[in-house]
Amino acid sequence: MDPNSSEFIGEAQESVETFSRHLLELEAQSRSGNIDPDRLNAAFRAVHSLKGLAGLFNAVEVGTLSHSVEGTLDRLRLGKLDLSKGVLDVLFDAVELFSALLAPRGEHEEPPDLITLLEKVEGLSRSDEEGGGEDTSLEWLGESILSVLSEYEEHRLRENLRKGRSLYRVHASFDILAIDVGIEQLKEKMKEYGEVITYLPSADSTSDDRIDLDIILGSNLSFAEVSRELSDRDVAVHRLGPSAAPPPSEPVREESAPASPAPSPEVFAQEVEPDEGATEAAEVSLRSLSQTVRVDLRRLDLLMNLVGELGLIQANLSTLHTSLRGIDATADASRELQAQVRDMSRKLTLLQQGILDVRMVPIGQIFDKLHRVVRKLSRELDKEIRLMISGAETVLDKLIVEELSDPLMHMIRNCIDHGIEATDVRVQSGKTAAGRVDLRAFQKGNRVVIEVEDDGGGMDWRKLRDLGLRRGLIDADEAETMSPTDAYNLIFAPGFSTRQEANSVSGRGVGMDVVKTNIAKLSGMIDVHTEVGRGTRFAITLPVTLAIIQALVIESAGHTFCIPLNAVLESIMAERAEVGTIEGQEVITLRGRTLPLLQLSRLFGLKAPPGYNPDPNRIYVVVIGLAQHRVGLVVDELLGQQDVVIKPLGRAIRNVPGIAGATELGANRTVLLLDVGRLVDEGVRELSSAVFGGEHGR
Amino acid sequence: MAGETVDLWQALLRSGEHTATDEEYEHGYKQREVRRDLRQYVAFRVGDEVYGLPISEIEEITKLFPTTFVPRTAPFLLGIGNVRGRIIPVVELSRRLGLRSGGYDRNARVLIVTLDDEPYGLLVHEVLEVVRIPPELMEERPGGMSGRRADYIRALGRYQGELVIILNLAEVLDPDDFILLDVSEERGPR
Repeated sequence: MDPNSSEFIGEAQESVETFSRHLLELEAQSRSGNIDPDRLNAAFRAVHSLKGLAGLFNAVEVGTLSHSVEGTLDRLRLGKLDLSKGVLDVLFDAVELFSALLAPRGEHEEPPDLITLLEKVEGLSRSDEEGGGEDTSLEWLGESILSVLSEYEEHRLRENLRKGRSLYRVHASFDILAIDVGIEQLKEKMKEYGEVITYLPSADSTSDDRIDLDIILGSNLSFAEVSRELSDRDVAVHRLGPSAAPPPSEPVREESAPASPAPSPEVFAQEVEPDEGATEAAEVSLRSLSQTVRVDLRRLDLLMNLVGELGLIQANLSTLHTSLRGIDATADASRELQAQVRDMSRKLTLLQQGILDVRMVPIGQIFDKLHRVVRKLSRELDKEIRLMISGAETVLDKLIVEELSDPLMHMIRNCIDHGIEATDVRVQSGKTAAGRVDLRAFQKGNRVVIEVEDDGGGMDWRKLRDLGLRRGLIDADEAETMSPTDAYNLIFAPGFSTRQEANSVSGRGVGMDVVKTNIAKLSGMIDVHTEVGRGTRFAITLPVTLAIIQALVIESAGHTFCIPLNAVLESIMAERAEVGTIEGQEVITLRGRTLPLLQLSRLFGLKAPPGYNPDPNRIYVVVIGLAQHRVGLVVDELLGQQDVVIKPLGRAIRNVPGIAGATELGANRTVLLLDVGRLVDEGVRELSSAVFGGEHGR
Repeated sequence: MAGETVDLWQALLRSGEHTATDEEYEHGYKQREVRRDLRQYVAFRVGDEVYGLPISEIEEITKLFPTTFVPRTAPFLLGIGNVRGRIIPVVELSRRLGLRSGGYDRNARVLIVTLDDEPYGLLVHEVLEVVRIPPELMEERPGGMSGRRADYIRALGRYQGELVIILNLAEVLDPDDFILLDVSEERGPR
């Protein structure tokens, strides 16, 4: 099978992400010095299933790397290797490399460097191996137990002893018909008191329809406590240990001669130990299949389009009904039709909502990736960073989440590289040594706000202004009259970077201008708040979904356009005579404030078709804008509001400035959707240079 | 023309007359699958010249449909239109190729082509026929030709003594050319 197939990439990426999540957890645990063996096993399983997947799809590189990583994890499991920072670093590198290997190869000029990392991974395994096994004798356990313990179980046993735990042999008897349920219940119960190390078959069966097991449990609790908690009719607890009672009862010793019982412990061992066998992998993948279905987003778009078209038909039916009513208002059929149309409309809304819901994914998906970025950066820059995440469960359209990961990654880079000060500087100014970056997501009305905040040095608007002047983004006059808000907005200008020298971390030729553009493409806005010495906060406001929005339909020079309603502050009708000019720039006074005007027809170079003559004395002004910038868009007609299904424009015209997409307005009429953020930007640039200087920023 | 060619020609003609049904669509698709290696080209007229595109690059042929003007784009982009729920940019080939524009009558057709998985419409004056040109009658673009227009030409074919200019879709539909430069560039420092 093809290693480039989306099936493989999708599944493999999921495994890598699972692995990465477990690694992050393990890192946190290793700091507190209490590593959960289950977590380690889970990480091992993730890599193991990745290896299986790679084999299935013939992805050689992914297979080689996962094999190697799996080996390392196995050594960690067996305690032959300590989970040191160095080891974690290499494992995180492996995560990065997996991601690179799974990324579409076209974008990478060179294939990712597999060899170096492989050597690192192998190096880990070798150098630490020698320090490995301290051998305390376990002779006291007795040959019967020792001989059937796997390497991993033996390691866990020693590990429990090392931590000063006591070992118990729990003898349990199960009804043969309900053994799986029984074992599961007992296991759950025992997990509360300690670690289940292994299951051994017991020879002293009481009858044919019962199976007896010996379970070795490591626990901090005393014998009395354990036996009180666990003992019942079918369960008996014995203490194991060099000082304690003699090794297991005689019959066990006799029966479990090394040869005979060997196959059976294997069977039970699978429950605690991820076996090399294929059973494990198969089980894992089956489970995921039963819970989720992978759906191509394009299919959902198709459904969405159909719903949109159904909506149009429904509107037609409604119109038809209205005209029928004119003929015979009292007819039962007419009333029935009305009821049916209404019912259909309600169901359509539900259907639309249902499809939208399917597209929704929690933003936590990319937060996990960002966590890795933070980790990597803090290492590279030698700054200790604490990433605080909240609202990971906030849901957004899948498309938006995908498009967000790059801008967010860039913003986080900026925070850590430019925002957070070096450790000594922080300590001097009375801050904690570790920098703090907050990543928050929350819903606000029908929009989602994502905030990235650092507690670093903040930005000084005078410095930004001076830098803008040096970079030639503004001239001396502009600098003189510039307001703080405008200075902050300079960071979104192309060609602006607050660092003198570009480095590998932030200086990749992409700046905040690209971030802003990308967010504008998602009909989002970005704002910045900063305080010198306290930190900086970026807030991105996004629609929950891109697929359907409310739009204001307008007409200008005979052309119809849609404006996203959430960008419209208000729309007013005005007399042509109310329009004044300031140095050639058209303005209108709205409730005592001067509002600069933009003629849509001039902005877009629209030519009116012959015979088109709107009322020359009346204009409509659609007030659009972001927080500080407001502009009045002059149009000829307001045609109404409507829910519209947004369709993407193809590659060729996707980037037309000022156009965000297209939609359909009945009768197969295609209408363009305006990119309000961009138009306001254009307007503001034009205006601030022409007339207002810095004043409009207030 | 040979029997099977006529069939396909009829099918193409029909699809221009009304909206193709799924069956027709699938039928046409299968035909194309079988004949891919036979090097068939759809010949069409733009102005006074005859052009051709491999039949495999053409998804369907329709009559001209209403399009919406897109501001700030090159004049050769007629606009965007909606074909069965998909937004398709429609290019006026005559303008794109630097020929005189206009002069469309009831023979005018839009060829729906796919490039990198995305649909485009090409407005032509007339669709002529499906021709089969053996490789030996195809010549690479002559070295003497140069300039932007020459890039649009992939090869020159001869069919019954007539010249058929085979277009290079990737160049004709180069995304960089669609947007007018003076607005797409950020206004820099003054």
